[in-house]
Amino acid sequence: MKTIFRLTVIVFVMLLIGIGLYAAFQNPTIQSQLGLTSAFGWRGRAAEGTGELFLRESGEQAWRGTGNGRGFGGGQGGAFGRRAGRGEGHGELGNLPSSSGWLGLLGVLLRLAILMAIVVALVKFGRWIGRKFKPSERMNAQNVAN
Amino acid sequence: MTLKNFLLDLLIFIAALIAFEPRLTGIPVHEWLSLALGITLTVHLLWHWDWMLNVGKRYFKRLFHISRLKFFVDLLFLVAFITVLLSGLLISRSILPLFGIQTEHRSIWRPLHSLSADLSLLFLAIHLGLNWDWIVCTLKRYLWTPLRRGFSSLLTPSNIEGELCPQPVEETNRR
Repeated sequence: MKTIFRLTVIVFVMLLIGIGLYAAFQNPTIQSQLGLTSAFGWRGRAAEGTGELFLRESGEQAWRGTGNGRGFGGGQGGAFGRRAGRGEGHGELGNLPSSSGWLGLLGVLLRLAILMAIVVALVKFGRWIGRKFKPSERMNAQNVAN
Repeated sequence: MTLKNFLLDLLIFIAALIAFEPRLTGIPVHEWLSLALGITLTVHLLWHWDWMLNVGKRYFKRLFHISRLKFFVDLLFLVAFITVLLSGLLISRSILPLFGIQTEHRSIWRPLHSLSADLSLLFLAIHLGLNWDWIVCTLKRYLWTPLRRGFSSLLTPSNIEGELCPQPVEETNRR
């Protein structure tokens, strides 16, 4: 009973967040404020603007796709080939697995490892700072005595 | 419970890694896997209910504590993950069409899906980084120690006890 109640609350909260996000991002005012327009999409427009640069780069960096992808939302160029371009001229992700996926997975793992290392280092540094500047018990006792 | 937690977390982590790279599996598997990930994440939240409630109730009583940072990051991670799921469903090419619902491929949900996936990866990294001590300790306890025990029993019969992971007072219910 307790578990069902908890599950209901969690699902309800998730649905509430989902509905809130849907309502927010469907709102034209919020869309324009964020630079998201349904006609092109900000990444689409970015792709349109920098298509040539990424098209050239896409041939060199396999995880960005191999060119001719279409930017998200309709912009031309291969700017987001990593997700949208597959180098087969239509820029859509395929229904079948691609061998370049392994390289992509390696990229994801690498990004995750770097970010995690930064966080772990910051936490350890924070703890060290905390220990370093924490007033010792002896000093506290002296302060109380004074 | 710790072992169950650890196995579920490991499963979620591997599934998330695969889901983050749709080219690896193709779109249909990517979509169904992400949906399954959403369900397992709900179970993960259910198992950490006590921790969420404990920290949530006393959030502002001791604001400068690492558990507050964890709570905040987890909340952002949840919102980012829901955005990924929602936008993924709205541009779905496999799940919704299966039920006869046609999706809009050129909508704002596509850039949003990509952006929220990147944010989710960032929050996942922070989430793992903040729980690093527990991850290392649990790995040692359930993976390294049994392996070492297995190897050492081949050479000399010894009894290596598994380490107990340190549990801060406020996080007792989490483990």
